[in-house]
Amino acid sequence: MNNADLFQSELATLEQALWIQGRNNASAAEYRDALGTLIVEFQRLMRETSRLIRHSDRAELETNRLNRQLQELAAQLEYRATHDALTGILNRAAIIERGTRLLADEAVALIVFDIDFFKRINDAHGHPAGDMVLRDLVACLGPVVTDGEHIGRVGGEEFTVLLPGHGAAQACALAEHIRACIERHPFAAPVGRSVTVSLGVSWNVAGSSFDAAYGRADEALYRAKRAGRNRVECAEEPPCGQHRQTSPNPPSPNPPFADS
Amino acid sequence: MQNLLIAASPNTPEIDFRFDQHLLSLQGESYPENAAAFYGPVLEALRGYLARTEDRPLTVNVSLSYFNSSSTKMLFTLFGVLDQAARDGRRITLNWFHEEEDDTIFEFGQELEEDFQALDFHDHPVRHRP
Repeated sequence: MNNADLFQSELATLEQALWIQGRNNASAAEYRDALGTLIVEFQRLMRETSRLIRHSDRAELETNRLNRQLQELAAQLEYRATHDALTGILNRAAIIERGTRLLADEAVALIVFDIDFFKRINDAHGHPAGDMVLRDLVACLGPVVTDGEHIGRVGGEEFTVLLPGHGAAQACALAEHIRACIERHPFAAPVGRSVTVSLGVSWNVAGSSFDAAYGRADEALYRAKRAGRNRVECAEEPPCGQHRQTSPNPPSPNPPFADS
Repeated sequence: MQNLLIAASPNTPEIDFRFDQHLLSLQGESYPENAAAFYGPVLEALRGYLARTEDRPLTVNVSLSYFNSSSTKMLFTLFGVLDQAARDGRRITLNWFHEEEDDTIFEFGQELEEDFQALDFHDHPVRHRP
């Protein structure tokens, strides 16, 4: 058993058969014996081979099934790790990662927006109603924020949109479109009224850091809050053209939650 | 004759051949780097034991949860050796343990029963322990 080989017995049989074949004075009985041994070994080998093939086919099938399952689970895991469970859009980590990656190669406009007086919705109607507003709001942005643009939820009621390849004016126009869409959207009971958002926009050259891009948009957002909410403000540099001052639609005379 | 005890490793089963009690056990998983090298000494010990103690009834307990193809080839040889001894007149009981839900190992046992008819084969489904 020193020369360990899986086919030790088959090799011994083969050697014996070759030896008999090589003899030129073997009797018919000797040939018949050798043939008999070969037949027995051959039958055994066939039986074992067919068993092995069945097993490996079965194992292969199972492996393929598990591989598919693994791929599905990995995809699910990847999705869950990068998406916000409530709204289905990108989560904070994913939008930061994507923003950082995009900014390394190209100019990116960034919109940061926040629901006005969101706390009051939660306080008045409970957190499920607040969650519903978040979901509804994201759903109504579906047609506005298209493929190639990226929307993420970066905090409780705060969202970020990444706009690669957009100019500053184009980004401010989109921000205004978002603002108007949300203002027009009738939120269902128990909220039962319109909800508004304030938005800040920054336009950033390729190579900017995400933090700087976000910080400038966030500053603009706070200007929008201070200036009365439900409006778009654009970061000073680079200038954002006609949208810099206020939104074209002034806040309604009796805006929702105007009592704060 | 000296008993043979080989502790289990992550890819080889425990071999517990208590020749003095005529009780042989294989337990664990089997996918050694070189199945022939692993099972070679096991087969050698088994053949030696069978040659020396021809008239004693023997019990073999096998509880393998996984074995690869080269191990399967060596196991065929092992069961072939046992089957030949049984044909030569020895009483050999083969207890085949497998997890209740493991159809692959169960069916492998059924095939062993079919292929090695001199062995007194007993199937033992075991409830899965978490």
